[in-house]
Amino acid sequence: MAGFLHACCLPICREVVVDQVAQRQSPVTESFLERVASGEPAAVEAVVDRYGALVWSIARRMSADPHDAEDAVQDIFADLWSNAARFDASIASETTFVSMIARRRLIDRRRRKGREPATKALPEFDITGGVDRSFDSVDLQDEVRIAKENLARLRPDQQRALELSIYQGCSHQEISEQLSLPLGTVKSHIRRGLTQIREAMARRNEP
Amino acid sequence: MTPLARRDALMDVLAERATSGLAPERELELVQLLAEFPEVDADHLDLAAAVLLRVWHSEDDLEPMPATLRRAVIARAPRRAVERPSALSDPPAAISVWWRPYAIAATLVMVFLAGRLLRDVPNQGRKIGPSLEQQLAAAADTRSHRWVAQGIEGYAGAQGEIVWSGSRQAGLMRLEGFPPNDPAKRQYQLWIVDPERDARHPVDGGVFDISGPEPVVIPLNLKLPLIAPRAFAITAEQPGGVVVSQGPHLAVATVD
Repeated sequence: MAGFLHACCLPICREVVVDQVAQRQSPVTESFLERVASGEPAAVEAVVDRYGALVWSIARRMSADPHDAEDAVQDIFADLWSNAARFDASIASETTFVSMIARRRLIDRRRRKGREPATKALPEFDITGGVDRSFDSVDLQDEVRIAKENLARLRPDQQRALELSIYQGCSHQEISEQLSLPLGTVKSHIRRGLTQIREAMARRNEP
Repeated sequence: MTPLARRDALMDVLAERATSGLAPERELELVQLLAEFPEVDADHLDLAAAVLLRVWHSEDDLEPMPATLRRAVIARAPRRAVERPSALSDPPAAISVWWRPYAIAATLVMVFLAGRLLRDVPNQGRKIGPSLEQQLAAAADTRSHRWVAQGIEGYAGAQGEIVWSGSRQAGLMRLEGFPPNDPAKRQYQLWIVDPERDARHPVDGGVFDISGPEPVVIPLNLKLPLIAPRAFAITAEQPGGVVVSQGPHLAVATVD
């Protein structure tokens, strides 16, 4: 009897052991978006908790009012769920990817609704000042460092054009008027600044 | 324009996309430029802009998401795995599903045959039944967009409208001034620029023929759902159409 039971149970036990070994061997990904893409039930809440403040703050900054920002946040997270599988850690940090998705949606909403007046002018930000983000990944800190270094190499009017465009949401025309620069020059400053930073990011990721 | 100048033009459009967004005509231009530079991603400069934002956006600027909004976002999230491009290459599940490869193969065959059938039955300005017109009239989001000729010789008189409802995923084209085509030599092909679906590749709207000088009405025959179309374009292609068009655009309708 014991022998019969042993013979019956052995294949089942072996299968259970194999599954347990497989689970221990499967890599634990640190990317929240990869976990969303793989269907992990707890991953959605983890993404919202990790990036909710970032997405909400960007949305508040680029929206006409809090209600509009709330609608925008809903859209942004919907975009994140459908784009989760696109995230590639070899190209950019997850925080940068989330910020990019957020900005894309907000720019699109702003464009469809017509431009709102530029946000109130803020004092120029000292780019040499540190921004301590203790929960930020090493990758993000590295990306920000590269961006700061490359920004510091630009001329002051180029830096200002980028800040007015990206941080303050000014249109190219508004920047042209504020800095008393031709529109073509403003576009050129922005293009060159972004291209320079993007190329520096790509070099960082090269093996 | 030299290749270097074309690449500069692409970076100009990408910088505009990353900072102020693109008008529909510029979305069309972006699609064409990206086709010339396949190594460049549509998000190329958006990533740089996102990193720059972190330079100025300090920790003091962050505020917690309102609790009600957090709950709403979580409640609306999908409960199953989102679409993964490499799903078919994933390792097999622990529980073998022996019929899966046969189901996938059968589905692919059906999709291929459906595509061939649809492609081989081009629209020739058939009379539109009342049901499509009624559907479009009843939908609150039905919009009409005017075709604008793009200055291509022989198509200066091309005009009309494209009518589309996102909620019904249905539409039609009214066309006039397009020269008749010989389907054995050339067919018209519709393209839809829908950046939210794919910033690089426009959606293939299928081929159609125009048999005479009179105005025609052609129902849209799309194989993929549209999310937020920004522009429509018509080209002339080889019989059966192409996967990637080299243009030129004969007529364009933009979504304002």
